[in-house]
Amino acid sequence: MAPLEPWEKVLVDAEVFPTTAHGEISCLECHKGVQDPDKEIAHTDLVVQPSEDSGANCSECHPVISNMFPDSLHAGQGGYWTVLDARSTPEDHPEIEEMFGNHCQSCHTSCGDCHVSQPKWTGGGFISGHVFEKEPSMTRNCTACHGSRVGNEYLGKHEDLKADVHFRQERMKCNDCHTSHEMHGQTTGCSYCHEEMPESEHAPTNHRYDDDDLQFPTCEACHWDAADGNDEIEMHQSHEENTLSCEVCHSISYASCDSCHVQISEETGNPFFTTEGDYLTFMIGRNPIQSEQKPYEYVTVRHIPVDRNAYDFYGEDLLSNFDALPTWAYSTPHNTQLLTPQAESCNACHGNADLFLTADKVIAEELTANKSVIVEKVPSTVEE
Amino acid sequence: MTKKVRRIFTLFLTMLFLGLSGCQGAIPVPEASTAEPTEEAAPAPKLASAVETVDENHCLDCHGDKQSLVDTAKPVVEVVSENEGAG
Repeated sequence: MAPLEPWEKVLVDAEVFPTTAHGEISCLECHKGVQDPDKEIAHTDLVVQPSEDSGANCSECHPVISNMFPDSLHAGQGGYWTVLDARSTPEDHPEIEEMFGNHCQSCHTSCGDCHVSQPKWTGGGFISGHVFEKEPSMTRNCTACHGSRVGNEYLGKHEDLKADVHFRQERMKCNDCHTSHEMHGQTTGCSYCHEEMPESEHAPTNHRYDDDDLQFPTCEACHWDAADGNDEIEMHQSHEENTLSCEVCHSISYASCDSCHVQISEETGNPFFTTEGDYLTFMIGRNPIQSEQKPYEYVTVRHIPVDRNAYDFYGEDLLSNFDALPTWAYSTPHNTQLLTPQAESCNACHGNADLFLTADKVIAEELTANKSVIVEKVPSTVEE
Repeated sequence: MTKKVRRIFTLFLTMLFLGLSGCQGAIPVPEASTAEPTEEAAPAPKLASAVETVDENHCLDCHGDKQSLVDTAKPVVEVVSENEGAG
């Protein structure tokens, strides 16, 4: 995504914005500063991104969302801490927290990052001249951050690989599946907003594949008859329910990464990362997080860029429990296709060792970490 | 009636009309209602129109004008990313 010109980033649509609801609020009410024709004076104590303090600036009109949002994955990045906690020990937390603040936290998102501006790390700038957009832009907001894996797969940016069928044929956007409830971190019961709903409580989500909460979105929510083999597709009927996640048959190759390391530049003082490998894979593994919500026996797995020495810049052996989680992680590739090479016939998959994450495909240093994912016996061929 | 007489007659009528109009009293204007407020007025909303009149919204004067922003922009300091590989 090409960065905006400096003036373009802060150009307010002077015709449209004042006519919108947010345009009725004084600029200083949210951004502070001073009413003065001189730029330097006007920008005294300026608050560039008021939604960083959504409790103070957004909650008056949007109390429900503002209350829930701090618990969302976008705001709190709970998923990072779930895996960092699992792979480290409490004694190492000061160093891990320093690393997190320097690197991971740059992905933190506030209201304005989705509804007003492009994400900071793409250079920022207004999406529509400071007009607040209820629905974020798929390419200028969502895939601007979720690009190297989700965006490239969904939009078909990998050479010779088709875009996801939901995009190619239906032009579905991210929020057609990932609703505002998920984005805003719904941590209370439905009845909190919808009085007619029965009372129930939802705990804050700790990870995008959290076991403790309902899994949304799911393929089955729309394709419910396929999930339990009640449609006319023979392959759906011949596999027992919950044996395979939908992606096992309906995904094509997707990105894996190796060996991410983070550090602070001696030259500039800026944080940076390096990753060693970035390649396309298609690998079926055993489900390492099998649960009522994710009951499948086999799922697609991708190699994530975590490395035993990823944070060595901040301290030695900070991931002392590295083997607690697999490095080939449960994944939901965003490149769904109706027809895929592995689903061409029964034996395109059965007996095809290339598709399965067997021990010989895992590097020796990561065998223990991936014990729960490695497929010991490739399903044998069947008579067709 | 000659043309000259007709002009004199028209002038006379005009003078008479203006003269009579000047003697007319002022048209009564209904007095503005000054009813007592029955309850305390609600605080004015913090709206742009109330807090910043159009004349004094310097924020929008500048941020709504491309040329002003171009003229007052600080020089861009190019930051070269030191990241290597896919993020």
